[in-house]
Order: sequence, then C-alpha cells, then structure tokens
Amino acid sequence: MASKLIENVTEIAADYVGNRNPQLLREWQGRLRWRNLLITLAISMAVQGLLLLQRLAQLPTRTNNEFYPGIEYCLKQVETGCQVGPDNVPRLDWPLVWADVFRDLSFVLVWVLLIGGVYLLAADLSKETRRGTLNFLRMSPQSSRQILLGKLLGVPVLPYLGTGIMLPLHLATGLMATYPLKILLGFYGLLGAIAFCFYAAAMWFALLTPGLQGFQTWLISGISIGLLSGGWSANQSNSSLDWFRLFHPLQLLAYWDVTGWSGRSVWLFSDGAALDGFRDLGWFFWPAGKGGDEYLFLALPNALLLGAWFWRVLERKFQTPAKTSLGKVESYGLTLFLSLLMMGFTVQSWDGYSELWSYPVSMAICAVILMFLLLPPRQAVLDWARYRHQRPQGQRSPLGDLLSHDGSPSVLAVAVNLAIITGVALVGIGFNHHGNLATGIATESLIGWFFAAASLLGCALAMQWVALANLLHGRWVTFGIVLAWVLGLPIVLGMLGLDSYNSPFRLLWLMTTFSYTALHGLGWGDTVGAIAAHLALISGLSFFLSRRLQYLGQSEWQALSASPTRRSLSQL
Amino acid sequence: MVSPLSPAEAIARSSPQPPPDLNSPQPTLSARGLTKRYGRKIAVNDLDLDLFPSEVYGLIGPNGAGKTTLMEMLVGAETPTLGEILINGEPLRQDQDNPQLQRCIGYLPDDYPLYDDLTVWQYLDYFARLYGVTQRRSRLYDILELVQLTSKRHSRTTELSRGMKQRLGLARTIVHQPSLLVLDEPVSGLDPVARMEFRDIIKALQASAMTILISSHVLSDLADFCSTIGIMELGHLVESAPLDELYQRLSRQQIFIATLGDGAELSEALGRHNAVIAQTQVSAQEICVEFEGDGAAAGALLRSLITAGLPIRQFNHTREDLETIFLKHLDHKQVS
Repeated sequence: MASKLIENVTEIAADYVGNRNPQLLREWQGRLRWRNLLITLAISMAVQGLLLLQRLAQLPTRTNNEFYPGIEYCLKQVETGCQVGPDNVPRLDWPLVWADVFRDLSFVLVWVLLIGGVYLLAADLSKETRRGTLNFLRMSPQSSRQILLGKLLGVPVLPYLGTGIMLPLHLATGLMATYPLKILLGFYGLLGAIAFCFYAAAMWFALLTPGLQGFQTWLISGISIGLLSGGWSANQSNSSLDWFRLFHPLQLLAYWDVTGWSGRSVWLFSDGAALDGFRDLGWFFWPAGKGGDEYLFLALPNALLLGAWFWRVLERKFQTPAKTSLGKVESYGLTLFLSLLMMGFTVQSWDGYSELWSYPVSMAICAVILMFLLLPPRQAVLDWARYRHQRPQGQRSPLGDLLSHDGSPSVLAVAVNLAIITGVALVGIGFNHHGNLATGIATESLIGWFFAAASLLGCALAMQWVALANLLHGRWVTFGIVLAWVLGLPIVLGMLGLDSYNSPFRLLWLMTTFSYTALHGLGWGDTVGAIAAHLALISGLSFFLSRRLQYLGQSEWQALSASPTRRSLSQL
Repeated sequence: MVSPLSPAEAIARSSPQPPPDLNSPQPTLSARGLTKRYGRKIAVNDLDLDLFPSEVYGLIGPNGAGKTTLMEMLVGAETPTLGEILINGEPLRQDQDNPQLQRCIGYLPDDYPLYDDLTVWQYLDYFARLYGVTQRRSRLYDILELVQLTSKRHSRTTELSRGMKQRLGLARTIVHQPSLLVLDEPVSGLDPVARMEFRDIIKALQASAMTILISSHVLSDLADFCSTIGIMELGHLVESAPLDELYQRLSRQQIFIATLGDGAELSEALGRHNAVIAQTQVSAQEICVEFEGDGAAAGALLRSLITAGLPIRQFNHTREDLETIFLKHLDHKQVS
C-alpha cells in the first residue's frame, strides 16, 4: 500500500518536473537511484557527525588530577586550565564551539558544491560531446537554455542533496554561534551566485575543448581548486589579485568574528585572526572590505554578472558549436567589465612603479586569452572571404563584419578590446587625479601600456596570419607564435644581456609586451622610433594579412569553379 | 492495460499525416545550392534536392561521396557553407531556435549512442518529452509495439542487442511523429534477420505518409521500398529520378522466350516489335531478346505472340537491379 503510494507520488512528481524541463527529469532519472541516494545520505550524515565529534573532542575533560586541558573553548583561562563554575564543571564558550562547527560545515559546503559540481558538469558535457549525443539535444525543439538549465540543476543533484542534508545543522549551528541571519542568508546567496558562475564557466570550458578527450574535466576542476585556494589564502594587495578574494564565500563569514577569550578563533581565517589588511580592500576608493554588507555588495554582483556572461556564451556555443568560442560583441562587454574591476582595485595604491604592473599585466593576460577565444577557424574565415560579397547589400559592411561577424578575422576586435582597456586606464588615472599618482608616472604608465598594446596587436595580426596557413597542427603553431611573441622575445633579450635602459636596445624592449621595463628616462628619440617601428610592423602585417585573405578567397572560388560539374548517368 | 497492436495498426494510430500526395506543390524538404567545405575538400557541392510528402528517397553513393554530410546539413546538425534548406517552406538555420521546424525532423545517424543509465521506457519518454509529445503513454506503447521492444521496456539500454538498439534508435527518431525522417545507414552492421525486421518497420512507416530520406549500402533493400533514388558522387548529386524511370533508362532488360513450335517463326514475330532491340538464338526453340520498355510493354509483347498463335512455353522478363546500375556507374567513373 505504502509502496504503491510512494510510486504514485514519484510518478506525479516526475511528470510535473518532466513537463517543465525534460532534461532535468532525464538527469534525475539517471542519478537518483536508491543505491546512490543511500550512499549520499550516509556520507553526508557521516561528515556531519565527524565534524561535530571533532569539535566536541576538543572540549576540556576532567583528568585524574582535576586539570582541564583543552582550553580553546573555555570561557576563561585560569592557572589550572579551564575556569570551572560553582558546580565544578568547566565554563564553556558555547557560541565559539558552535561557530567552529558552523565554519567547518561551511568549508565542506563550499568545496563539495563548487568543486564537486564543476567536476560533474564538465565530465557530463565532455562525455556527451565525445559520444555525439549533444547533437540530438540541439536538434530538439527545447531551447538551449532549457537543456542547459536541466543539466545545471540535474547533473550535480547528488552533491546538492548531500549538502542539502547538511543545511539544518549548518543553519542551527550558525544561529547558536550568534551569527546574524543577514550574514547567513548572504553566505547562502553568495555561495549560490559563485556556484552559478563556476558551473556556467565549467560547462562552457567543456564545450570549448572537445579535443582534450575528457582531460578538460580535470583541467577545469584544477583551475577551480586553484581559484578557491587563491581566493582564500591571498593577502590583500591593492592589485588585480584582490579580485580572486571575491570568489570565496567563506570570506563573508569572517566579518562576524567569534573569537573567544584569546581574541583568536580556533578556526583560522586567512592569516590567523581577523581580516587585517582585507578590511582595507577598496574599489575605486570605495571601502569594499569595511564590512560584510560592503563585501557582499561587490562580491555578489561580480559573481552574478560574470555567471550571466558565462551563461550567455555557453548558450551561444551550445547552440552552434562551429562558432568561435566567444562572440566579438560579447568580448567588448567582458573586457569593459574586467577592466573596470581590475582598475578599481589597482587605482587604490597606484603611486609608483611598484604598483604599475598590476593592471597592465592582468589585462595583457586577458587580451592574450581573448585572442585565442576570438580567433575564428580557418574555414570560417575562408567562407567569410569568399561569400561575404554574396550577402544582401545591407549586410556586407566590411567594418561591421570586422567588428561583429563571427567568421571575419579577429584583429579589429582585439584592437577594440585593447582600446577599451586603454580607455579604462585613462579613467583610472583620472580617478587618481587628486590622489598620489605623479603626472610623470601617469604619463609613463600610459606610454608603457600603449607600446604593450601595440605589441599585442602585432601578435594578434601574426596569429591570424599563421592561423590562415594550412598547417598540420595549426592550433599548436599559433600557440607557439603567441608564446614566443609575448614571453619568448623579452626572455631572449634578457638572456642576451641587452639592457632596456640603453639605446639602441631600449627600442627592442619597447617593441615587446614588457615595454614597462624600458620606460625610465625615456627620451623623445626612442619614443618616436618605437612608435614608427610599431606602426611599420602593424601596417606591414595588416597588408600581408589582407593580401592573403584576398588570395585565399579568390583561390577558393577558383577551386569551387574548377570542381567536377554535374553529370548525369543518362550521359553514360 | 494497453492492448497490443499490430505494427500497421500502431502506425495508423500514430500517423499525423494526410494520405500521400505526390503531386503536392510544396515539398517537405527543399535544398538549394547546398555546399559544405572542410578546408580544401568540398564535401557537398552546389546540391539541389526536393523531397515531397510521402516520398521515400534512397541516397546511394560510394564512401566519402558526401551522403552523411548532406544528411547532417538537412537536419540542422551541420551548418552549410552556402545554400538554403527549407522544411515545409520554412528556412532551417542551426543558430536559431525554431521548435516548430525541429518537431518536423527525425534523424537517425549511422553511429547512434544511447544513454546507458536509462531504461528503454525512460529513454523514449525523455525524447517524447523533449519534443512535447501529447498522450505520451499510449504513443510510447504504440512505438514500442512497432519496433517490437514492448517486452524490453524496463531493460537498460545496455542490455539490448545491436539490432534492438538500432530499433530503439528508430523509435526515438519517430516518437514525435516527424514529417521528415532522415536515416543514415540504418541497417549497417545488422544480421539478415534484424535487417529484415528493420525493413518491415520502414515499410510500415512508408505507409504512414512520412517523407523518408534513407541512405544504405544494401541496395536491394532500397529498391524494395524507395520511390526515388539519388546517386551521390564527389559531393554532387549526379542522378536523381523515380526508381521506375531509373530502371527504364539505365537498366538493361532481357526476355527469355521458349516456344513449343518453330524458333524461326518466333524470331520473325519478335522482329516486328519496336521494343525488341536485339535477338540471340539460345537453341532451336529458345530466344533471348534485349528489350526496351516497361512491364506493360512486356505484357503486350507476350499477348501479341499468343494472339499470333505461337505456342509459347516460357516467357521470363528480367532486368538489371539497382546494384548493377550503381556498379556500372562506378565502373564508368573509374574508366573515365
């Protein structure tokens, strides 16, 4: 009778879910089996029990000579150890005990949800890509959003369940530890937002790299672990690195410090005590690290916006795998978002050469990644070169194509992204107008960035040119070119002992992405020479690239024209 | 309890289509100037194709001719480099969600993986939900009955034989009652019995007015149920014609005639017929003629011989099959 009832209820629930999102039901049906459920329940309960026991085991206990070792959780320390009450029982700081259990549970929640979810989602999508089953989902009438949402909610259902079972104890210990409900809810919200961001990024990455044959699962999981660890342990530095701290929800819990008699929590936050330097975290001179509200105000939109952006490009890539990893128009928004974030942190202490590295280096890394993401496949460029003339009159503006068409060369889009980064750098300098940045240093930093950006643009041109060659391992050759251009050249110059402060070697250094090293005492002669050299390089590469495109477009047309024409068997 | 149905009943119940209309002005599928290139290789080159309601179109060609690429483009799994595809008059584009259009298409590729963690029922139910099939339960029973997998509905897909998996793949493809069914080498790797079962299912589907595009290397199967045949070669559709027309144009026909009377008299009577191209005397009373014309013309020839009072003992009309036509075509290509 009872089993019949359960069966009916299950069927009704499955119907309800399946009618709204068939993909979600499919994922649940594949995973929610009795064996899996029992194992998840057992692991979740065992982890909770162990964490609880681990803390309770640290409570002071009566020994033979009536000392009470284990003083961390005592309300007060006395000579003999823990202070005891009139009833001869140690007086304990229970909120501190519960706070540590709460933090332990929070730690498990964060790692299981983020890393477990990322691993499962990346593994599922890379498996479906390898087996070719994703195509059938694409061809179904369901929207990409529905299918991906089903994956997002369904694939990590066991980690969701496992952590869900922990929630009552987590919430109860948090409240008993006197954590304000606002912080608890903020923690859950931030954890959800960061999980959404991580999951969308992991799914996108899995779709981007089908050639890795499943290794991408380990790669994206490793990157996520690195990001979580970095976000936890990195010290606040008023540099772009501060951004990573926004990706660890546990940072929020540190704003309600339950520290006990010693002034130190048993559970170590970052550098052992309170937030220290992190409380000084600023973003465009706004005190983002001052309190939990401020931190949440910056971290939550950061995770949500980035997550929404990852979701958008994920839907795009899922819908049409042949497209570039990232749309040109989408890249502009992303660059603006990241530039503003990085500049906001950097501008806080932008007072000399020592801090100059942060913004340009982080944005140069971002630009190099963008070059790869925007690079269209050779076939797409050839098709664009060959067929763009056949499109209707209103749809064939060359400039419009270069700025937004997926198949067009990516060079102009890279240039626009570099211009956005430069624009934000100008905004940063403007913000610091009344700050402590000397005009000379500001000018030099801008000149340095201009040269670095010009070098990156040259690199993008060379990369596109090589990508158009019909090479056996084109992707790897392109990767090698970028590596040699961005890192190899400065390393070789350094190894040769060519001093960046002396002409004529200074000119060579100004041609690299490490042009900052040659800024000190820069004269007009070197500046003009470097500008001329950059212009010549960019013009030359642009000329060769356009010639090659023209040639390839024509030769493809000739190949097409020369191919066998229709024959009929009736002619046999 | 759902009573079992015969395949024909099942398909009749499931058929959403009006009766076959070969003269329909609007094709179910229409492709114009379809081109697909991979680097320097042109997989499909400037190809035009029209499939009309209830037409069963067999696509044949050597390996690498571009059949699979063409099929993938036609169902939206691959983006054409150039060209246009219209399904029921509406353009098909890979980068746009078009649920109405996607409901019209069913596609079974050559190598079709199943989900190992689902049962047969869950698997079909999943796809039925994806396609928004109404009255799902009865539809699934009908389909399972059609593909003869009702008894296996609670089995995991991993427990099925290759033939069963292929039938399940087909069931998945037709669960949403598509108007266009595209099958890429559906019988490859199947044993003769499984192949015959599969062929019966296709014939049942044919009766339901679905437009079917099917490729296969088993040409005798195609000749059995296709109304039109297309031959692909190097990305071109080099031949596309109704099967009868193809036989008439390209198949050499022979009639073996034996008489109880005089062979010379028979030869003289045959010589008066325009459809008889050449005669070969096999024995004193047996003649083999090369013939041009359809079955009705052969019937007319037999009638005229009997009317002329010739004592005909044997009259065998044979023609070259599709496989021979195709092989002749390949031979010609190699020679040329």
